[in-house]
Amino acid sequence: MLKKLLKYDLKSKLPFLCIFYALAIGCALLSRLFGLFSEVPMVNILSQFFAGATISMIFNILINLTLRSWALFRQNLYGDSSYLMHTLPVEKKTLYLSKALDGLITLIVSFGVIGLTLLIQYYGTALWTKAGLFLRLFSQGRPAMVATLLIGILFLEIANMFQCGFTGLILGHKMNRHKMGYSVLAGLGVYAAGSLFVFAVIGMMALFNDSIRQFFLSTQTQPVEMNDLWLLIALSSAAYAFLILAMYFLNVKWLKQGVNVD
Amino acid sequence: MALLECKHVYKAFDNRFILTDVNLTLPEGKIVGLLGKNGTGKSTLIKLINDLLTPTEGEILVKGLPVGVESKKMIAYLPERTYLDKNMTVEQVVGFFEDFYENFDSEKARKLLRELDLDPTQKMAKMSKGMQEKVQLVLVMSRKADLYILDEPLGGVDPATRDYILDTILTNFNEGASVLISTHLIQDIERILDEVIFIDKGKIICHEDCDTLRERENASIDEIFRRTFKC
Repeated sequence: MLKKLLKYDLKSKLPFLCIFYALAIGCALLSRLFGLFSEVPMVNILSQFFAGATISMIFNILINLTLRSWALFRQNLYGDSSYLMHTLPVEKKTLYLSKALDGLITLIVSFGVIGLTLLIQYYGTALWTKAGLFLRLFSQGRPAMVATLLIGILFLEIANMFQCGFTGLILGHKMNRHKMGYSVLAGLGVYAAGSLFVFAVIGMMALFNDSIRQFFLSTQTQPVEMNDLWLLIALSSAAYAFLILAMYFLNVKWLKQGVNVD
Repeated sequence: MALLECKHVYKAFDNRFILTDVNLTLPEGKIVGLLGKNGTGKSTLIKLINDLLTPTEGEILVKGLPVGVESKKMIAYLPERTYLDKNMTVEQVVGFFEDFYENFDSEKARKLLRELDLDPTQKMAKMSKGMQEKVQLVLVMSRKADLYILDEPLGGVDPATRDYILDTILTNFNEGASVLISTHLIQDIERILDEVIFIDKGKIICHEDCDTLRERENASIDEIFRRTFKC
């Protein structure tokens, strides 16, 4: 049943996202193409225009992905479609797992598309070199690895944000009135509590590690010991993974307690 | 074993009780009318049976099993609102039901849809609300369920369509199954009912065989309803 649910969940989201994927890649290609003739003022303006459009499309992908995931979650589990979803011979945890996996898959695909778009847009340009140099300052000559780890953390942060939205909707819809208002409040509250938890984990580490403490306290840009950076990233990732898993099990538990559909 | 049992079911919203001590037993092979004025708890009871609401107190059993995956396999539910994905075509919706319900007869559904002259490639969003409701009815009645629960299937449709809906229900429900129909349009469904349940202010005030009730009161169900619920 999970496979079938996931198929329908992906089908209802991916076609819309594909439009933004195509637009982002298209804008990046055009910007790069016009950039080849940047000595011509008019073409240069077009190149800059498409460079800006590419960035806005990347944000569009992330915003659309997040809002659409939350909207579909609400529509399927608490809106008109819930009359179908909750009467399917499927367990509540399967319904939730399908939504969570759908979010994860579309997030991975979106990250891939965003990476490809940025590669098309900036590979070999001055900005690319500057970003590399900046990363090298922190990473003792291993910028690619550090960049990958940072992208991993960003991925976990967005995945956590995604799930906080689901948690907010589940908790908000346990109320009998002002469900959307409570959903927003609960979502923000859970996200804030989760962020504080991750910050507290890193803060605890900074208490015992001078290099990490300096990273937060000093205004000077200085390299962090590779081992310390590893530890920082590993602990943050573990904190995020714990948060995501804990919220997943809590959400399933709350959903299994039953729903109150309008 | 009873097909459906509600034991001391209560449902409250913000400490206001919508249903109070509902006790109900539905046998197999009957068409039962759940009758009551608007806002008396008919839809709430139906939603509880279908796991769309959680009881504040009490227990609901379908063939002895609590509401859950197994009960959902046995119940075919038609809600009062359109619940199908508007971006899907009619054929895709049939495929969806085929995927999730083992007891769904897709050939029967396609046959009934053909009789309605519906284009299988048409999107739900392009259909009128009435047509969407007909598609839903066809899908629900194409399941070989043990219990069909139809919430206001006649609400907001013209008399000709009402006849079509009632005929579809009568000629398509699974043999040996029961049908629970919630409505306040009693005159239209009286002829098909075996039993009636009157519900008022969240309480079941009468659950009786239609013929017995008619004989005793010497009136039609519609007249008895009007008398009982007179404002």
